[in-house]
Amino acid sequence: MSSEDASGLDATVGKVDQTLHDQFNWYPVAKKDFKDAVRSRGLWVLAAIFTVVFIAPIAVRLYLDGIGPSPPDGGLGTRSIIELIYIDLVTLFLPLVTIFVGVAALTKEKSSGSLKLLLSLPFSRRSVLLGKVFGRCAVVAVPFLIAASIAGLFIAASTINLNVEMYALFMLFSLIFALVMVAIAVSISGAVSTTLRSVIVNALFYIYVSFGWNSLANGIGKFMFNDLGVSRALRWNTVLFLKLLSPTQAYKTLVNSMLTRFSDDVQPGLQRFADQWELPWTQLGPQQYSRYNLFNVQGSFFSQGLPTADKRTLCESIAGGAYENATITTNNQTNTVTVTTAEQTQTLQSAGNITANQTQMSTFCTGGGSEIPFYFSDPAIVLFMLGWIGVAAAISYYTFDRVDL
Amino acid sequence: MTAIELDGLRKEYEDVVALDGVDLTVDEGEVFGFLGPNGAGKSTTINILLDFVRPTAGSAEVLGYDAQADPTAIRERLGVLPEGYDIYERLSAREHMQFVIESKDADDEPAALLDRVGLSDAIDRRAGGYSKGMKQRLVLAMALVGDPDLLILDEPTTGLDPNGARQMRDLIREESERGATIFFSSHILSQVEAVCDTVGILQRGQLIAKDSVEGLRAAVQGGMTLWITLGDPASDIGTVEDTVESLDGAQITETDGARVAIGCNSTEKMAVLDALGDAGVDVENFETEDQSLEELFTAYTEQEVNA
Repeated sequence: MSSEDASGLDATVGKVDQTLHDQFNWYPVAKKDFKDAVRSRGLWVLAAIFTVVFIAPIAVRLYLDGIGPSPPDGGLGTRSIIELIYIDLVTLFLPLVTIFVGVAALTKEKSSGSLKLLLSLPFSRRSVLLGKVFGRCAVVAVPFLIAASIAGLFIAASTINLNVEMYALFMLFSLIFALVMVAIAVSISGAVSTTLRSVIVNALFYIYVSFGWNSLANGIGKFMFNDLGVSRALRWNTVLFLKLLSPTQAYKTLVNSMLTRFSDDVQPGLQRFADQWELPWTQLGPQQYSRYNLFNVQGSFFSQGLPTADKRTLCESIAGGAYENATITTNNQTNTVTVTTAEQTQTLQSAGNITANQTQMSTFCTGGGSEIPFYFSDPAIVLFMLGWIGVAAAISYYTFDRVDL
Repeated sequence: MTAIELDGLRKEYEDVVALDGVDLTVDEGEVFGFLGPNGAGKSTTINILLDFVRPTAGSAEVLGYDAQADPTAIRERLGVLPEGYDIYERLSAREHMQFVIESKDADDEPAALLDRVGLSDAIDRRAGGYSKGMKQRLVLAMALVGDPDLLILDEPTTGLDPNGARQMRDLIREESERGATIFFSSHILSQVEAVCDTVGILQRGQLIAKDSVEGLRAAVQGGMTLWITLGDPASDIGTVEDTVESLDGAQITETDGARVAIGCNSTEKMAVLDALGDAGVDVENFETEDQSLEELFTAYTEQEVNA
């Protein structure tokens, strides 16, 4: 029975192989590239690296939790390991791996002369470039999926509560991100003449995308606002758009959007406040909130938050929300709390004993119920990311097609 | 039908002119030897035929297709042994062949082709450990996949031992008999004259001669040397001198005891021997020595240098 299964599988694989062969003239190039990686054991080394990288931080964490005090939320969940560990791991570490895989994809063939053998077969330069892009994508995708599965089993077997759907979606987005990055690395390799140049351009691209992109996006926005006199709405829409064009930011935003979708509360703080004071506020949608959250709205230890006017613009124009002020005044003579919002003022008798007279103002971006424009939506972000593959390959092809070998 | 048609082909690299207006026609079914010293522009020409390099001016047509506009259509029907190639170290000879067979949609047997080039004993070994000659054989086998209409071989005998070079010549003859056009470049002249119908000589980016091997010989000089051994040199030598002098296009170039060297055109070899027989000369033995293309080649290129 098992041999029947095997032959059935073989037949299916053969059929798929034949179909791909008939359909795409780059396919033999990609297949050969993949075989080469299997042969060099590079594929299994990658699988081992990915597995260690996915499991080790969690294992360490679990071990420390075992001996130390539990974290306040009662332990690690799928969401917390993604937010605390995986997102940074994927955005900072994965591109290094993809560069390693793609950096010499074409330059090595150029310098060794094996490209001449490839191009004396019925392949156009376009097919060779595409074959290399898809081949190296497979070289990353297969070990990645193996490692993601092993890590998933590990998490399921551990004390962490595995949310399979959330984990699978996260790995899917991470895979898309990895494929985009490997396609870019191969494309750079196609556009330059030597491996050294490919290494340099790839490194510059990595540093720029990882660390410089946001500053540039913010800088352009600032310039438009201060020197060209555009409206705040246009400024922040432009900045968001530019940010989302970065593969790294696009990936992070996509993951954030997805994670918030899994909980009822997108803005738990807002919800608690509204419940407490019986305010008719709603929360932002997951997509809106994750876009809004891309900006340093609240400020941090290192930097001040944005000016109120910009916060309001971000909330209203980017998140399609309503920017609400709430003033809370306590009165120790009447023992009451007065909450004033734009719509209403209500005074409540405090259950406890109020000792001081205080006035405190808080601001919230609440849900306005408006749809997010398509160009900022999750599907659009996926398209932006995939667009990188197209743009990089097109630029690479433009150069590669003209050069004398 | 023409297999290759070059028209005013010119290639400039920054400050060097590699090809300076080359016109050339190679007919289908021909075995064409592309001769020239290193650096004459042979590889540049071949690289343009293969669309590895784009010409500055002029056009190149291969098998009826423009080399720059339709490279894949050409590659479907082409077998190539390029210059400065490299194989894939990790793949075996069989896997190389499988890759080429799949890419060309052919149905050849890897083992059969590898056997033809004399590489059947290393078929499943990683090609990374191959010697230069073995790599050359492997790439040649790859070029033969799918019975190509045109074989372009750039310096095919470099890296081969004398036995390998002979096998290469046999292979070229076999492919030619099958009907393939063969275009191969070399700076080793004996390789070219042994198999080629037609020879073109490239010198500093210009085609300075193109003719059949015989035609080129005739153009330069008588073409060959006929050595005769006389049974009775003392009495016959005078008759030999008189007879040879009376013939057009033949002269005695050397005497060495009983042996006499007569320079003549190869087509007149029998006429010379017949005339000697008619004159009653006792020719014990004769042998011919082709004037090698080496001499021809030197003659041509020296003329060029002198001019």
